[in-house]
Amino acid sequence: MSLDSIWAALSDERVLDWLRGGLILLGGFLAARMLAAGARRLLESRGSAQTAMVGQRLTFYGVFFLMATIALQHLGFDLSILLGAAGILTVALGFASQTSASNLISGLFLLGERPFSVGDLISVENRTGFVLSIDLLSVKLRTFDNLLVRLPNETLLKTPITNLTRFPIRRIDLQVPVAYKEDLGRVQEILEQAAEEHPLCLEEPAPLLIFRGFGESSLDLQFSVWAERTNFLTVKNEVLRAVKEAFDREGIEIPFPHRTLYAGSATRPLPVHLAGDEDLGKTVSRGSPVEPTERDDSPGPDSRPDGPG
Amino acid sequence: MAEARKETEAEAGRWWGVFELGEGSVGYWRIGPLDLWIRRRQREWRIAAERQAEEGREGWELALSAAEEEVPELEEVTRFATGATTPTLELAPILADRTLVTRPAIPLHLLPGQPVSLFVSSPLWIRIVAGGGSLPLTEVPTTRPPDTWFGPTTTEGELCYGSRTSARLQEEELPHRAHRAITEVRLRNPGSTDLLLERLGLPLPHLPLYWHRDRGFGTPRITVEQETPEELARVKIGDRAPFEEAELVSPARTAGPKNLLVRALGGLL
Repeated sequence: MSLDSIWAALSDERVLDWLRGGLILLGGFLAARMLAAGARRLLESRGSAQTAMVGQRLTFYGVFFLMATIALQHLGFDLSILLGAAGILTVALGFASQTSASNLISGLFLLGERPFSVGDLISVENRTGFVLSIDLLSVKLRTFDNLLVRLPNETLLKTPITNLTRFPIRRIDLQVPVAYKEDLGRVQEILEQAAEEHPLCLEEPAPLLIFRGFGESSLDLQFSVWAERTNFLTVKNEVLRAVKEAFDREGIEIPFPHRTLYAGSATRPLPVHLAGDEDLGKTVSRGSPVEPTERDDSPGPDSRPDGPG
Repeated sequence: MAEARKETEAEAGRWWGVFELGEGSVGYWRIGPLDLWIRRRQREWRIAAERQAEEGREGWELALSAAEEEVPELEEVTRFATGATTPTLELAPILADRTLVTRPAIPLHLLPGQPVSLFVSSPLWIRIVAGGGSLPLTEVPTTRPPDTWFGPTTTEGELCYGSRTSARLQEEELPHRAHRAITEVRLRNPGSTDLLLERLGLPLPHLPLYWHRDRGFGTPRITVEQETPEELARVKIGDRAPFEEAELVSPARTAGPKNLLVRALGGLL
């Protein structure tokens, strides 16, 4: 192929049109990027990160779509036919990409409803993280251990979402079990004092003590204190620590699980092994100490025939 | 030089003002419950603070020539790096940066039409500025009041400081302390029924701070007018100093209008 023929081909009107169309598209893409970045900067200084992100996307897609339409018109496409074809294509595409379409629509609803915005801390299906972005198909979270989680918009629309940072203050529920023998009035005083002495614990709403019931091994109490949401972890850790220290000081027992063993109706005193040097190897039961051989071989005087021995 | 300066401030009955600290030396202030050490080094300022219980710690004390070894090991030490430190150090008392919510030990009934004056004391913050006034380092509260929430619901309101002191009806009942300012609150209930006063929000960031040699720190009188606990209160900040011949120590943090519509009385679920 000679240079002349290449030149003739390039100077052909159609090729030039395509070149112009391509340039408009490229220019449109660059202009859309620039305008979108400008819109983002402008909105960031005035509103939230979320508004800025949505503004950027809308500007980009709007400008790019406009430029693409101009480019197509320049190439001599009849847009009405194209739109008709696009309609049929959309139906076909819709069937083929139901999930994506559903996510897309869900995303629009999420943006409209605004249960959370970029930067919020949310909890969805046992995952908790900061919202990085709300995109067309999904929401991206950064978890506390610095992992990226992608949640499809459709899932978010269907499942309950907890927004942990919507309101400025939060209640912190501390589970405090105490032994059955303790005086609840005294326990309440100690708990309230622990909260009062912590400056980040809110005075009002006042701390709340809820008696949750008689547990297996303990009286189950819930002590709820309020704090500013940013101080949540600090207050939780420090108040629990203060409570433990105060309980130790005041001799209030935090019980571990207790089990009482019954050996049927003929419960005998259970033998106890003493681990001290002098008593090593001896078995002691309540009342009278007996040698292990005696206990193993012969029933005690108070055992009945129906008992397990 | 440092000694001379110390005497001028101390003679005038003040723990604040402009001081000069030599390189490597430590200034010590005891202001009410606060022990404050400020150490100047060649390229940094170190500020250490420790707080005791407020009872029995009402006065102040100041020593600009403490030896470096005398400063105890403290947890709360903050370092500020600068190019090269200059000897001038300024301490200024200032009111708290949030509204102070004070609760009378026993709630008061405000009878309609009766003007009542309450006297409320609030702890001071200390603003520390180096470099001849050009280098604000930090602000240290003389005592850290607990946080509290002031608003009609837990979703709507304002984060404030809570006060454990009670609002008193006679000024003489309140002791003058080196680390607290007294505000007179004139309450008016223009309605026709009693108004139960359970808590009172004091818009401290809007108030300037005055000082008088004999009467201590004070703020202009504020007037609060409210009919029902649900509505917002009309708060008017007085123009005049609280005492005759009182000098302005620090202007209000928020320069705003003298008439505010704020949540000042009662009302929390």
